[in-house]
Amino acid sequence: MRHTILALLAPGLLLAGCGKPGELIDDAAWSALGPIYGVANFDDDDGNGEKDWSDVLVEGENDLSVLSVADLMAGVADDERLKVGLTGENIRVWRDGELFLEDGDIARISGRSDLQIEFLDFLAKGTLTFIQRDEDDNELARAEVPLMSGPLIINNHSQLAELVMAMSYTGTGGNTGFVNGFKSVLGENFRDVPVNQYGYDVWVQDEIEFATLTAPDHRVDVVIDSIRNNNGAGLDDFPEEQFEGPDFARNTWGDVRASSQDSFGNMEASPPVTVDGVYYPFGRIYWGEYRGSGPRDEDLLAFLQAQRVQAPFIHDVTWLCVGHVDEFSTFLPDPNSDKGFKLLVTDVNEGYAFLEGLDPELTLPQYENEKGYATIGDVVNDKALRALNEDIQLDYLDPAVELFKTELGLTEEDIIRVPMLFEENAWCGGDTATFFPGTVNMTVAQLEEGGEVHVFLPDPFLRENNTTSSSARSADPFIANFESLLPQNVSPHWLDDWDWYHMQLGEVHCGSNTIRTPNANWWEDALHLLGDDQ
Amino acid sequence: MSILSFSALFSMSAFAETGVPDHLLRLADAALVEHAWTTQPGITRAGIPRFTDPTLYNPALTPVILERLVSGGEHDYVRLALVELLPRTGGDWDSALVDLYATESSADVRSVMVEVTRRADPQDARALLLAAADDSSPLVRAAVMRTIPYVEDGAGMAEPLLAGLHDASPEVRGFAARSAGWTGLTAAWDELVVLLSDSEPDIRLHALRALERIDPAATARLSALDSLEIDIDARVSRAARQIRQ
Repeated sequence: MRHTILALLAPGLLLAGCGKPGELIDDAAWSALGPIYGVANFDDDDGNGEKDWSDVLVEGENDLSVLSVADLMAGVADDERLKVGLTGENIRVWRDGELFLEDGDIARISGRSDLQIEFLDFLAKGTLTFIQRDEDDNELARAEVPLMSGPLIINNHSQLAELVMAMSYTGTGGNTGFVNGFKSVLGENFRDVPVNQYGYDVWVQDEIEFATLTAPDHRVDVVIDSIRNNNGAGLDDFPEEQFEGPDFARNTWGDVRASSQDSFGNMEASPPVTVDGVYYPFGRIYWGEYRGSGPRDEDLLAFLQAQRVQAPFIHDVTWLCVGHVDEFSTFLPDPNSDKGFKLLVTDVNEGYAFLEGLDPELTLPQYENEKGYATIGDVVNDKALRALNEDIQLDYLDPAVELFKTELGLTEEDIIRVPMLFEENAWCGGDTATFFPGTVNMTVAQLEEGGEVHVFLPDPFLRENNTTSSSARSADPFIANFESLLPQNVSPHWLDDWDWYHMQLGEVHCGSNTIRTPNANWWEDALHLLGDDQ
Repeated sequence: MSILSFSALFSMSAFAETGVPDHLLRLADAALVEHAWTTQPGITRAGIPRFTDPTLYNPALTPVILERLVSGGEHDYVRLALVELLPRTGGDWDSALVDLYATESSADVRSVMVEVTRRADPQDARALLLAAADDSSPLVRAAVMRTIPYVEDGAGMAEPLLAGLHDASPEVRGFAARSAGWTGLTAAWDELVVLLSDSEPDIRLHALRALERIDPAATARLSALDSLEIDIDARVSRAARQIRQ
């Protein structure tokens, strides 16, 4: 008799429907065993500096999946035996604090202690085979319990924000306005960390990427520590000091000298999408290649490809001096839209259309000294700047939009084109950064389901009064125009990022990062992507 | 030292120890001069040194920055950031830069000198660009080709642009092609057609876009588009197909 296990067992759930001694264990008892879905034991619950999957069972361990056999054993007569075997690499089974099974082991079960399943890798798969035998060793019944650990999943903007962070400097000339802009809206959901503790490196988006491992009743946050700084400089120690610990794993994949494309402003994930009939419940990862070369950290790229559920695709960022995908695109939750989100992408045609609708005599004190453009007319009449931007639209932005449409199954209705221009920067070899503070380089934070979607945006200073007062901002035509493009339920918050970020070729998103709540279950929604409709 | 740590440095600086020439201390507030003489650039997200301290955007500090550039004993890494800062000081720096270019030994610094001419007085810009068009460094010559369309009367600088189309450096040829298109340099037509067969995809792309700007109808009839439509570079093939449509 062979039983296929279909039901899901929540760890610790008591089994029901067991047989009586001397009878075969009934179908309900077998079925209640599994499958068992778990998380890779990737964190360091005892804080000994070793990942738990490299350790023996450690104190404080809470990442193992529990399989209760008590009710099964109730159905095993005294003269019968119940054996269990494990097949599957990178899985260990513990019982009563001792290693009970590894790949290929078979053991007799006596007593009613739980089995604890430990996964030693992402997407590890195996099978526990239970065999009930009589006193003459004849097989009476058999059941197989599939085991599987989940993939590492990169967060996306459709997930609720739990904690937004940025670096702060409170001394003279500090970025207090930037930090307070977050703090006033997010309160305890925002953390600022003194930048002087981290070599005045403000680019916290580039240094780390947050991800999660989940399973029924399990969540482990993971901070992916980039290879951007691997010599103790800048934010190198930030993830270790601020996050690593029990239930918060940290890891660096790869050990090569980074290019700018290895920064995590160059790696984002879309919201959930359906592409050619295939549902991606965690969206899809995308990153940028500069002149045909993507991130040098091939170990990380291979790892993310192998996770399968977020099927990465690649943009061309060759026209950008920094060369990150967050410089020209982002995603914004929009519950009123068909897909539940909008893609925001920079568009220079929209940029010129917007500027040409303004008074050419409008003075721009913020741009006069710092960029050499005293009025709107100076900007729109700069033929070289216009030619540069026309080329960018044709050769890079239009193809980028087409790629988003193809790879994410989007239509024009899913896209908000955001007015923007780019400019060449000295010592960038003709590559560019945004002329105005890059609006789509924003931080997205929705704190409650159905609540406001807060977006933190770089103040464009496209106005005669370039103070940061609310009256000055309310008179800014760029702000008014952009806010008119936003979906309902989105609350914009404009931050002064000019000196600390924009002039350093980054913006709000580059200078912040966000921990988010998982909002889908891979074992329910993504098995089709894992080739495993169990 | 990062972007705005200048402020901390500013407040803590001790004038006597920083070696600021005495005559500079009389140009503006002594503490400010001291700061302008000693502060270090931040590193942009692209890894490029840049001064973004707004207190340096002061015309009175322009001579301080110029003198620091010449005699401050700074590494080239700092010096190119000093050059990039000059336009934002708001002072008179243009004519001085023409002279400094002639004696500047670092190609990196000379290339930034070229790039900032887009904010210089047109006469000074033209003088510097013409001198730099024959620079021994392709880095500098590429900057010249890139910068010409941004300066007033850039369209009148056909000679260096035409020469740039034949430069041995692919980067120079590419930006010369791009600028020929941006400035509508019809005299470059034949050379641009030749560059459609260049081995560098950037050059093929720039040449194609340039020809399209000069004469879109004639460009669409070019037989070279047959091969460009199936070019291995996606940008080139896409542009060729768009032009044919």
